[in-house]
Amino acid sequence: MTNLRSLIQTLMALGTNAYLLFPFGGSVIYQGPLKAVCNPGLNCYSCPGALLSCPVGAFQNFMASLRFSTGGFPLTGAIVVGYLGFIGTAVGRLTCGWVCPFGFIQDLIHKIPTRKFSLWKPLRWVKYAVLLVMVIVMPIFILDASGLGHPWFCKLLCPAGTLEGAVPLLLLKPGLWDTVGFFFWNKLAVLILILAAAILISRFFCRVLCPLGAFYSLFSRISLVQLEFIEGNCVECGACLHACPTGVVPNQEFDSRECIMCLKCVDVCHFRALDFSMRHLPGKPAKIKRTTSPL
Amino acid sequence: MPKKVLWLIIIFTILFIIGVNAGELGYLMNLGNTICLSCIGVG
Repeated sequence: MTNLRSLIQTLMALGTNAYLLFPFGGSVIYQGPLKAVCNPGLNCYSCPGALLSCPVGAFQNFMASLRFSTGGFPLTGAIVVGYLGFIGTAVGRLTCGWVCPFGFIQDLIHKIPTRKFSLWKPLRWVKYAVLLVMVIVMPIFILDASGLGHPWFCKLLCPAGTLEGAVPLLLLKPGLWDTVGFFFWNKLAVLILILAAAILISRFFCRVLCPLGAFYSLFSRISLVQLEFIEGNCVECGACLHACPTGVVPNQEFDSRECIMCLKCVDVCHFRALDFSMRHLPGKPAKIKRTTSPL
Repeated sequence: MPKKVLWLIIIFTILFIIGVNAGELGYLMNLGNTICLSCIGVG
């Protein structure tokens, strides 16, 4: 399962960043019709290779321009909320584990051999504050001199924007160096800190800061896919705990909002106490904890 | 499928359709076609 996940992560990361003509076009970034579609994961739409838009960036821009909607139906970002909400209801945070390009980058750099640390669990709540404050409240209410809102998450925090957008674009368009200032250097420092933290702490950004992960986690307990725990098979060996990249204790919090459905715990469990299954299948009880083995 | 999930799917589908009909696809496309200066850290 781990190999399959790595393959899908690789294909998604490369497939959604497959625009190879950026060195030859005047605009440097892809400008075709696919940009009307959001990437289900966090991927900067200013990345020279990006084919899809960033859902977090797009939603913030909708929020930032909410006050300026004139005539007709206001642009509220309903298309992004509907799209992400549909994905969340269907698969929850499986998107984080299997599809998100920035999650994949973190998985790769966490393989760097160093001493690893666990995360102080209360920090997991920070991502909900980031979602509420930086993605919704600040773009609506903090306006510049001309009365425009800004995508503050992109501006202050987003490491994907710096890594996939800023760095390649500054290399490809040296003229942009004349315009960089505090925000760029701030974001570069944030990127370095986040990448360093991701080397030491598995999926640091996803667990602490990602607003998209926070949004998807709202659906973790109702999504159509689930991690199933078969209590009768569990011998409490702790193998799942050591395998989990998000610090979940699968045999105790198998329904956790932190679970990204990477299924590493299913792989390492030799007693078949954990399984991946569809919730709410006809004829199947809605509960997700079985006390007896199906075998 | 529980009613809660069914309702959520219906609500999100309606939201998506509202967004499409409000012209948000075009807005999204315009957005994606310009370099995001905030992402780069300019301005």
